[in-house]
Amino acid sequence: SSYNADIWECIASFLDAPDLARLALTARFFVPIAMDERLWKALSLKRLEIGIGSEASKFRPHFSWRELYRSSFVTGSHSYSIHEREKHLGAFTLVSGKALAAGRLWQRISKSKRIKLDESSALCLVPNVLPGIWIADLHMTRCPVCNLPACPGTMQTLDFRNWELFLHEEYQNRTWSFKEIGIRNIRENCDVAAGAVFDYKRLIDKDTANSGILNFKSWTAENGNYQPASRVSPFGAAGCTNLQKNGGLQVKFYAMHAGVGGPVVAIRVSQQLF
Amino acid sequence: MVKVTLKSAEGDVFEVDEELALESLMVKNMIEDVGLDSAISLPNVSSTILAKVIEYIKFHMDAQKDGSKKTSEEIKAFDDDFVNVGIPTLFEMVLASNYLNVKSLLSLTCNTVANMIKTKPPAEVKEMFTSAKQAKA
Repeated sequence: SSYNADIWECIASFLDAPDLARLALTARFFVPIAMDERLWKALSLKRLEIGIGSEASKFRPHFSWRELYRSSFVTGSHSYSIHEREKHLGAFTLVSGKALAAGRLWQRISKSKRIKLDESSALCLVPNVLPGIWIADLHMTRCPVCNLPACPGTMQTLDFRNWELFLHEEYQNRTWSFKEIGIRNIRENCDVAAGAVFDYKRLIDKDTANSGILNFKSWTAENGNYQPASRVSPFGAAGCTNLQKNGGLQVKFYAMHAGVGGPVVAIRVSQQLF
Repeated sequence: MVKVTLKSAEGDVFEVDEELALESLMVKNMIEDVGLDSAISLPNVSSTILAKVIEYIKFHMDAQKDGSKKTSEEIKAFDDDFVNVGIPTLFEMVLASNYLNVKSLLSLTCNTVANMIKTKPPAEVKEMFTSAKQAKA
């Protein structure tokens, strides 16, 4: 034969998304090659920093990898539009269907096997979570409606979403939205505003331990640095910002369900100073 | 050392060490199926390209041997020089390494083509594609 699609598959595997798009424009022959799902899966996992062969790489998405790639990295759509600055924390995996959202110093989690879900721990258990690859973002926002006296007006929001969320029509037309699932009031000085989501069943786990995510001090910013810091583990993501002396924090947990009784497709942890 | 006889498209005969020949998974399978008694015909690979492929495998086998003094810079320099050929030859090498199933050479040559695509305007990429069509598979 005069040409061979096999070799072009191999060549295409060394190309990035913009190069593939350009390649598809040069000749019709390249269109199916540049659209190959295996390529887009590999590109997506690379961008998400998920290892090929890991548990995360085994999820079969509802949408094509190419669409997912575009919704995550190209169109720049974002779940939180009023942000002033944002920080993409990274990708992690929720496997068990049970997530633990944290709004405070979660290094206690690793020390005691029994997790207390009381007011002081600022933890919130989220059942019926859609398993899959999740993406975490951190936003600093000027809160639009502040009903708390003496609030300097800054709110930290950590958004965790199943990475297919943006492609669902119900998300786009706002049929699905965040509902508050818990409030914790911490009425004492908080050094940091910290939020995280973990796979509940992977907290006591080798990968989680190796990532250092529970070793709080190893990755948070030093005193006086008010830039947000973050850490991602295979089964969780956390963000943290140092705070000036304050009178405490209000932590709110939100969940977005895929319809009534549907699984949770996004979790939000927001923190506001009293 | 056991020798393997490879026969190119033109009918030229190349006698190589078995160890070297086994680097081609295609030749390896062939040897497993038919044994070493007769020459292995490779009707899809020209003499020029077969010689290049053998040169490549030999260099890398020697570089990997204990006591080899080749630095990673030297290996990279060899690879860079090896793929610094015209587009038709490069495509023939891509096709040959795909046919002979030599993974490392396939990666090297495909990566080289990919880097050309990244830097060239679409019209030139189209030209490359035409060259690829003309390369004998």
